[in-house]
Amino acid sequence: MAKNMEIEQKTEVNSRPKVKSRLRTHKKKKAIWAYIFLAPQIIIFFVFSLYPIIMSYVYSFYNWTGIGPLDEFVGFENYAQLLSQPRFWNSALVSIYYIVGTTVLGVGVALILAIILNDQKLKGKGLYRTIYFLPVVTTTAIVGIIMGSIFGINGFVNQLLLTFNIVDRPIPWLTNGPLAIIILIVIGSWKGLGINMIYWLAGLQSIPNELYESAQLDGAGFWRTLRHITLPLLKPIAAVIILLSLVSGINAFDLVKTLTGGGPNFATETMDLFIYNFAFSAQLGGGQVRMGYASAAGVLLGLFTFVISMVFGAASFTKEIAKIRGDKKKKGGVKA
Amino acid sequence: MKKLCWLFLTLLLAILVLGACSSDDSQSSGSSDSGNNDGSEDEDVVTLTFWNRYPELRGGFANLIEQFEAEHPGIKIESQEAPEPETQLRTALSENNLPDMWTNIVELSELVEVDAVKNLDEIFTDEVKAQFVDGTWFENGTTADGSVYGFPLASPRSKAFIMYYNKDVFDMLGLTEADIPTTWEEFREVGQRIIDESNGAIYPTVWNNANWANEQMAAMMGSAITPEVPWQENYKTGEPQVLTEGKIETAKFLKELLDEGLMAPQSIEIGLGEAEATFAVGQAAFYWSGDWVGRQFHVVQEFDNWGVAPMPTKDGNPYYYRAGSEATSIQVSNHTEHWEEVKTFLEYSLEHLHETVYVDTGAGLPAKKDVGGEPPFEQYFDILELENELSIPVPKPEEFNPAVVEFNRDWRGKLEVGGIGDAIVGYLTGNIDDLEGEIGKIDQAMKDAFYETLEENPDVSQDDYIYPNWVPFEPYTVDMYDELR
Repeated sequence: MAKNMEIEQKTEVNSRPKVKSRLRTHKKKKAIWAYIFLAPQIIIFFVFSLYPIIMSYVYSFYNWTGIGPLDEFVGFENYAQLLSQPRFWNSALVSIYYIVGTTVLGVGVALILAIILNDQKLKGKGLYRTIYFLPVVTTTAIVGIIMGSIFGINGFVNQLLLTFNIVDRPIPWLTNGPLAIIILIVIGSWKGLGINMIYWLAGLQSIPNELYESAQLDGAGFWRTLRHITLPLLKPIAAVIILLSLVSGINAFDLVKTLTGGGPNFATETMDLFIYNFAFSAQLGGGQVRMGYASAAGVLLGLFTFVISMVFGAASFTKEIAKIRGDKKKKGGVKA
Repeated sequence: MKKLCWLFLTLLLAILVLGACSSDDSQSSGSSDSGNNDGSEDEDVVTLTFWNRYPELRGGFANLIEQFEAEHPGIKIESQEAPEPETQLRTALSENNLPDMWTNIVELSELVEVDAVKNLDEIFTDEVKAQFVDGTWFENGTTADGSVYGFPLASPRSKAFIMYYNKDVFDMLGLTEADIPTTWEEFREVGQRIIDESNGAIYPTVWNNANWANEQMAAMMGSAITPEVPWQENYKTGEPQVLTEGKIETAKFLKELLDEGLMAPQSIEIGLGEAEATFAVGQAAFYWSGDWVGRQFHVVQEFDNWGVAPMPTKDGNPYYYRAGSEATSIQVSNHTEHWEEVKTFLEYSLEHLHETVYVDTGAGLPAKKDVGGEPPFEQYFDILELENELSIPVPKPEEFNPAVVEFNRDWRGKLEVGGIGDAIVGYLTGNIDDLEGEIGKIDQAMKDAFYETLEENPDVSQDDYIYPNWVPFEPYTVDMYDELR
């Protein structure tokens, strides 16, 4: 018996390292498989994201047309020239108008729609949601072309206004600079309305029903509930939605290119279109293609996006971060 | 849960089906792009890829390729239209994936510099070169350092804007050829008559407010007032100049037509096709555009009852356009794997292209002399005559000093805006009030960039841009450069 126990103990002792090594091999195998599955994504990220980003920084220091060797190093000349050119600043301003406009309008209207569609008594919610979501899945370039014919001088909107004698002459929606920017903002907001609405709905549905029921029992009406329950509880998701909307507003290229082409006289040229025009298609307009210069603009656009994300992200999450820090301190205090 | 699973499976199936379809497509286009032999069925057939950026030449090229393939069953040509030609070509160039042939878009000197374009001297011997219209061969257009790099398509003496008039409208309103205006004042008078007699249903003219169109219009109509500036350089003072009385007056004339209702209001935002359609359906009596429009009326709009005349100018003085403004040509990839087949196609094209693509379709005027063929509309010869009269060779500093090619690229590369076309767009749409101020800024920026680059470049001097022996409206010939040397 004692012998048996001894043998068992020995076997146990011997088998421990074996189990450990098995576990190690198993873990290793698992890790290898994980890396194998991650590899395509990592390769794609390096080739199509990281490499172009790094190269755009490199190109920005050269006078280069995109063809031939990089042999004319110009240092920060491209940046200096960019910052001194009114056309660049105009495009930055147009981008800011568009970003702010689509965020205020798109996110705001989407919230109102989401609140309406979140009402449990409303019938046909699915249909409405589908209708509002349709523009999201429509190709932006197609939207631009169709909207061009709707808001054109002889387009549907002007025909309607003329038929009902609301105006004497057609309104140049797309050829008057400020009006064209407004139209771009309206269409851009409409295009992103569906996705923002879905985000808001997700936020609204995460609010516990009990809170509304208690508020109702306490005699709170719609507005008070909205002000004291819905909106405060939506704050965290609001920060995310606004941030996403701001960042997506930076990529307005396809809509602007197809709707106004950046005209008239660069009045609606956003930063991404400015980059495209200098990188690829300046010769038809009588200019020269300047890939280095366009890359410098691209770098500035990247920094601009980064700054917006950081500033807004920090501003939105300051309270949350402070709260987390406070909680941690409290916990630390209790332990002590 | 079950429903979700079904939905997921259906989606997956749809993705797989779509994926399978797209992979088939990409396979076929991929193989053709590389110019390799296609599939097992056509093992002996060599496929050449060709990108064309000129919409008006589409039909002509299709005919030419069909005839060529019938005569050469071992060669197939895949022609592709290029809606964003410059972007497309530059991307292909950076990926080292150029088609076998393409129509010009990127400046020749840039392509030669990186060895991307094939030297065609083998085909274009002196004897062959002599078969082409004078002015066809010029530096940074069809040649580089005297060698040929472009198969010339359109005549250098073409592309001048002319005035098309709608004979249906003329007949309906009782107008005759004597009513065709030659001055701006006459245009206003006949325009008012057209509006009155049609009760406002017909506009005197329609325009397409594109930057390139405005730039060309200002240069052409403006040349009747400021003839010493054919484009963006003054060949008397030897410096860039876009602020000229002629250009400003022309832009103001266009704006007045728009404001006075003598130009269709949609002119400020429509493209070429819509403007042509407006004219063809009789909503406008006159239309100003280039020589390629006759073919568009005939084929696209199916409208043939029109005539041509020179455009009106401020005081009825003649106007002109610089000949050889653009070297419309076919360029060949230096890395084509099928040079022999490309050569066969180009040699065939030497015999047939200009007749089939230009004369038989009426798409423009061919670069080759004494070409046969039958134009599809009778006005073709009127256009030919007008273009010969209006498109006049002017000095080309690149011909005088080849170093100018790089110099031009350098100083133009410093510009924020390449011309005044966009400023005129802004003026016509009411976004710019002070046109002179705006064009003045562009003019000054051009001069600054020019002089700054001149200081950096010892191979070029301002004298390369001064031509005292040039008389505007008189063709500047090759031997005249020698007089200055």
